[in-house]
Amino acid sequence: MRTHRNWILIALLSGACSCAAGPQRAPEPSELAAVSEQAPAPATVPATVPATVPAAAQATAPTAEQNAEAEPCERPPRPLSDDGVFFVQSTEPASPRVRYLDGQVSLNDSCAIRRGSKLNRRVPPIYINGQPIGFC
Amino acid sequence: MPTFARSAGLDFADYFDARRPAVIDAAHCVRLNYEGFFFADLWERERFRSDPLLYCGLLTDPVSRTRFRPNASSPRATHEGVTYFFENERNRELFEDDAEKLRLPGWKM
Repeated sequence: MRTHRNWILIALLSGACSCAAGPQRAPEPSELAAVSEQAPAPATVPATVPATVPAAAQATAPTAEQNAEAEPCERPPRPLSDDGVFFVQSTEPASPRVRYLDGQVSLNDSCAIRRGSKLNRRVPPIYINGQPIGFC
Repeated sequence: MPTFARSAGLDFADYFDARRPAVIDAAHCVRLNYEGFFFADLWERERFRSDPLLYCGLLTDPVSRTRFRPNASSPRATHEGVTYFFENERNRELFEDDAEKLRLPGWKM
């Protein structure tokens, strides 16, 4: 009786270890049927429980950081800027375009007055033919 | 406005027909609020001027600086030949009190 209880504990522990090793697919109905036809659990469990965790399994076991990355982000995304106007990448990395509150992106990527100067997202644009022209 | 558009070095298409380049001069330009509209020919310009509220889209209120879509009931004022539309009557009164200061965007460049 006592040995039988030990086998049950080992079986439970092996199940916990397999859960900790990572997610597993749900067993197919045919597999479940095969398991039910097998010998009693205590006879098969010792063969499936390794004495020590293999090195390869240790290397592939997910860390706490990886688990945190896999979980969906619960925090709300941080706004890019406080006023909703922000820079967007353009062909010239040093002079990005500006996306304004109405969702339009500036037609120019450098100041329309001072050539080559980076746009200032705090300066409102003027609109020509409905397209914003940014300033520095 | 045409002078600035030329100095910006940007090419603009006709407001109605994107396949045709707009002519950047005062004769082919219509100003509403702080927006400028350029056209490829005078016929397109007159088409716009016949019903600007139908074609203009969003405009910038000169007082609150917010973008809004004017309609037939929007308050309006005319200063130096330019028509300005406002979000509300209070903004129109504020504009008329100091139209010379608010007629252009006026930010430092």
